[in-house]
Amino acid sequence: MKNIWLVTLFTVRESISKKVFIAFSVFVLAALLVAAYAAPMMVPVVSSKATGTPNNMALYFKMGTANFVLSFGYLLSIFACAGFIPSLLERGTIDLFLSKPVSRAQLLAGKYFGGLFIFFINTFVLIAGIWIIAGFQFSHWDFSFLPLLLVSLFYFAILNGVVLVTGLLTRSSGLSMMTAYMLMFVSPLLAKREVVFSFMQGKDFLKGFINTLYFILPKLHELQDIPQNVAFNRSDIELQIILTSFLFLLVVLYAGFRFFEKSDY
Amino acid sequence: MQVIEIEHLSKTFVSGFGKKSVTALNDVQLSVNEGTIFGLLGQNGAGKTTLIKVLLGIVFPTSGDCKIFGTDYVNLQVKKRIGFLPENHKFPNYLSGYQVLDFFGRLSGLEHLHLSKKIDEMLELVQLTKWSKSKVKTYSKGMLQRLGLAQAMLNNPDILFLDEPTDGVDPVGRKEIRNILSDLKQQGRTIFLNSHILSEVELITDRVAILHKGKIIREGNVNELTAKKEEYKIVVDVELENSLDAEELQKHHVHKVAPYTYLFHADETASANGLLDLLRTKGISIKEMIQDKSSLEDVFISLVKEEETRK
Repeated sequence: MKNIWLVTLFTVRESISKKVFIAFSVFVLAALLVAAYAAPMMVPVVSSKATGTPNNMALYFKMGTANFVLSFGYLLSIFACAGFIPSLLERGTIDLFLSKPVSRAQLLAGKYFGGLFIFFINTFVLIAGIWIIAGFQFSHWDFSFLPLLLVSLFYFAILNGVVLVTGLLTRSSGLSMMTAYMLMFVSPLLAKREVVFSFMQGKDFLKGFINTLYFILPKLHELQDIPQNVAFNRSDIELQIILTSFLFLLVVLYAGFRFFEKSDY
Repeated sequence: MQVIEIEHLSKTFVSGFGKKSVTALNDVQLSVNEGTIFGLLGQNGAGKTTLIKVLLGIVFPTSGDCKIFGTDYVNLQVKKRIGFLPENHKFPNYLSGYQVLDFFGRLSGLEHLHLSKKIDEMLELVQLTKWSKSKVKTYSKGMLQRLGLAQAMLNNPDILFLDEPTDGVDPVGRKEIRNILSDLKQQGRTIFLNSHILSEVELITDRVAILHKGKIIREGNVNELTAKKEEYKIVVDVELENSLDAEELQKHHVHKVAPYTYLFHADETASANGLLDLLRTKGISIKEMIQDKSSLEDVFISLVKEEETRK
């Protein structure tokens, strides 16, 4: 554990030096400032019964602000994490690390958790900040908003896993980024595949392929809906979405770790 | 005691979906004794770096076996007793020299209190104390190499693997590195050195092996390898051409290489004694007589050429 923690801290340091995560932090702080400034203006709207229940309006405010910032946060975080593995695998760097009394699994885990750690810190500040602002402004201290932190962390954990494996296989930060962005792009299309199917006459093979992709790939789009559904008590959480996404993450990480354990550098 | 034992070690790199294969190491057999400086010589691409990487568990062997301190080479406990300076190493350029040593020291399992003292000691040794707070990106090649050496020595390793340690270092720095390595040897540490600067290797190593296209073509101690068995150099107080006649000089295969300095060929002791007796009877004083030596570079080049022609 000590070695994993050391590499995690080292990765955090690396990400700070690359300044992309700092950009995310600055963006989070700016968003919180704007939210703090805008929230008092929304108090009359939230209090007005004509616009729905005050609790719901406060939740809309929180969810809207957080999701807006997070959507950029995912992109920035992928951009920052994409270089971790290729830079580790550079000749002259990987030799140094692997000559130390650190197992390959510990090294890779440290790199993975380093990315998650920075994302968590930024997201924690964002969500806690919005929760506190909304709490003071609207007297709305409901905890139903907080699962967003866990779900967004899980969402990023999947993307970070994909970035890690692509980095190991290709040693290219560009390809790692593109793969993760592609997954984010494809996910809503797969979630709405029934709509896509309605425009496809026949083509059962293609439909089958799309369905397979849907069940294999993580349900990123649906995952994003979970915090809102929880907050607004809209529907039960589909366990299948979480389980299949988690399974995807496990398989991807296992493949990555196995590959790293067996490769020559 | 042998600290490194390599038996029938081979490594073949396969790329392009199995279509291309390159044999980097071919049935290598080698052993290194404790407390010695061992030099591995070879041209670029001979397999020197691959051999070190296999020993350190960075590259996996295709076949064969290697042991360090009698145990498995990828054992993490063994790695605590090893220091390594890779060729063209890259330290994170956003860290200072001190931070680099701090990070890699911790990764080597050193405790914080002991570590800071050790870092100061190492920086002093490689003369980087003044630059310890500067970012690594501002370091020259020579400074980076010295920092790399400090990093490799931080955990008081019993074996130090150095891949081209004097690469990019100026002559003064090279001498300092040689002195450091000699001191380490005095302390009983084992040093495994990869280099293509043969004059450097010749000065500090006890034993060398020459690796050519993945195969060890010669191994031995430096004096054995460089000695010309039947050639002697002699320094006398007169010019022999004036004291001996041409026939006598020719009989003993004597030829002049410098003023008062001659080389002679003697295929047996009796023949050498014959010349010495002759010189003495002529009243010529022998100031010095040594077995002539080739440079390690000459030996290396001739062995490589010999190997090439054999194929």
